[in-house]
Amino acid sequence: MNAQDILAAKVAYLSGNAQTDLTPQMQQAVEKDDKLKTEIAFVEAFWQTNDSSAPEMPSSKLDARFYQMLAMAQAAQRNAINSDNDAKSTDGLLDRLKHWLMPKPALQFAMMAGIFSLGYFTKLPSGETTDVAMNNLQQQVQSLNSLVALSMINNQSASKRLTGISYTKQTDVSDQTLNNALLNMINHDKSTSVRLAALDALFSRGLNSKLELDLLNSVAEQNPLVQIEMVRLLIGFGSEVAQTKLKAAAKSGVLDADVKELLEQQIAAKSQLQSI
Amino acid sequence: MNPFNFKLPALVALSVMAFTGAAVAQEYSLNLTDPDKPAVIEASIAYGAITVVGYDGKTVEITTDLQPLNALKDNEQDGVVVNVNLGNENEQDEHRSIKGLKRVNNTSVQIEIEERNNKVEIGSHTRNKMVNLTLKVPYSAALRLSVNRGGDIKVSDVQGALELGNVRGSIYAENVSGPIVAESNRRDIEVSFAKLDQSEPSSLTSHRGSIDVSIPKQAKGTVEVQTYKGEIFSGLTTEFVAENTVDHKQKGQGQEITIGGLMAAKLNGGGQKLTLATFRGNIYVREK
Repeated sequence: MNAQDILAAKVAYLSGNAQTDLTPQMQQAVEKDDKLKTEIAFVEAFWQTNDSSAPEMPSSKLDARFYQMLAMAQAAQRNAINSDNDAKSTDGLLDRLKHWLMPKPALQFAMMAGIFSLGYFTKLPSGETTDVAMNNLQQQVQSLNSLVALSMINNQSASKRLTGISYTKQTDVSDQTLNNALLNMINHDKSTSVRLAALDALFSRGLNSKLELDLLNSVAEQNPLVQIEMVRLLIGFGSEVAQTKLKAAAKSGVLDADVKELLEQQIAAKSQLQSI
Repeated sequence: MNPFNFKLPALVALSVMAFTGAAVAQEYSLNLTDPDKPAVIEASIAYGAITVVGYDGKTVEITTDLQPLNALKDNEQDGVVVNVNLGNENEQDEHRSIKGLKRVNNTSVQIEIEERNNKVEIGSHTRNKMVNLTLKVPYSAALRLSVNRGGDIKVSDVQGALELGNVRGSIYAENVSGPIVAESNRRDIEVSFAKLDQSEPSSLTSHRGSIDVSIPKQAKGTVEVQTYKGEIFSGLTTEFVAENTVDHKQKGQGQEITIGGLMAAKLNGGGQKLTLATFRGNIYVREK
C-alpha cells in the first residue's frame, strides 16, 4: 500500500464508487506522512465544492474558502515538485536502467491499460441505471437531430432543404413539429424536388389521420408530379377514408387527367391484390 | 473610373432607354464585398434568358442585352390591333380600334442589381422586352436563377450550388459539380457533371420535358430515377435496380415505414443522391 493507493481509495469514496472511507491502517499512514495529509485535505476540499447541496451565494466566507483551497492546491503542487526532485536526487543505477528499458510510450500504454481495467472493474453494476442514462442520451441526440433537421429545412438553399429532409430520418417519427414542417413543405415549397422528397419522408414516418386529411385537402392544389406521388402513396399506404376521398376528387375533376388515370389504375391494382 | 464599377453595397435601378428597335447591350462590372469568399448570385427574369459562365476572377461581369419581341409583332390590319402576342395576356384589347393613333414604342426596361455581403440580386420584371442576361461569375459562386418565359438558362464552369428554374424554356448546365436542384415545366434539362458533390443531394425535375445527364465514370453517387409517362435510358456500367421494398418498423414512440418506388443505381459503391424525376419526358443517364 503506497500513497497513490490511499489517494485512489479516498477519491473512490468521495465520488461514491466505494462504500467505505479509508481503512484505519490507511488513516495511520496518512497521519504519519505530512505530504499525504496535505494532499488528502486538498482532495477533500475539492470534492466538497461539487456536492449536490444548493449553491452558496457569494460572500466573504466563500472568498476565504476559495483562497484557502487555492493555497492548499499550490502547496500540494509544490510538494509534488519537491518529491519529484527528491526522487531524482536518489535515482540509482537501477532506476536509470528502468527508464531506458521502459520508454515513455510503453509507460503511457501501461497507464491507459490500467485506467481501462479500472473502468471495467468499477463500471456501474446496475443495468437499470445504465438503461435510463442511455435513454436520456438517445432522447438528447434525437432532439438535437430534430433541431438540426428543422433548421436545415428552413434554409433558403433547396439542396440544404433536401439534406434537412434526409436528416429527418434520424429523428423521432412522433415529433409533430417535424411532421408539420414536412407537411408545410409539401404544400408550400417552391421546388417540386423538395416537395416530392418531403412527401416520401412524411410517409416514411407514418401518417396519422390528421396528417392524412391535411394531405388529402391539398391534393387539388398540387402540380401533377406531386399529385401523382401523393395518389400513389395514399392509395398504397393510406386508410380507406383516403381512397374514398381520392375517388371523390377524381370524379369532381379537380385532379389532372393523367393523375386521374393513374388513380384508377392504382385503385384497380389494389383491389385486385386484396381479392387474392 | 468606370461608372459601372459599383462600390458596395450597391443598389442599382437601371433604366435603359432604347430609341430604336435594335438590340441594346450594356456591360457592368460588380465588385463583391469580400472577393475572397464565394458569392451567391440570384437572378430572376420575367421574360428572357440567362447565361452564366464561371471564370477565374473576383468580380461579377454583367451584360444585359435587350431585344424587341419579334414574336410579338402586332398585326395591324385596317387600323385594328389583332394580337398574335405571346406575352400580352390582355385579350380584351383584341380588335380594339387604333385608327388615328400613333404607335409609341415602349422601350424602357428596368433591371435592378443589388449587392450586399457577397449576395448579388438581379431582377427584371419587364414583359415587353426580351432580357438576355449574361453573367461571368467566379468559379465558386452559388447560383439561384429563374426565368418565367422567353429563353433558356445556360450555366457552365461553375462549382457552387445551383438552383435553376425555368417555366417555359430549357435548362443546360455543363461542367458543373453541384449540388444542383433544377426544375423545368415544358422543356428539357441537360446537365453534364464535372463531378458529383458529396456534401448535399442533387435533384432534377421536369414536368413535360426530358432529363439528360452525363456523369463521370469515376464519380461516386446514388442515382435515383422516377418517371410516370416517360422511359429511362441508361449508359451506366452499373445497373438500375427497382427499390420496391416496404419496410415497417417501430422507432421510438412511433413507427417507420420505408417505401420504395424508384429505380436506383449505385455508382462506385454509392454516395450522395442524384434524383431525376419526370412526368412525361424520358430520362437519359450517360457515363462520360
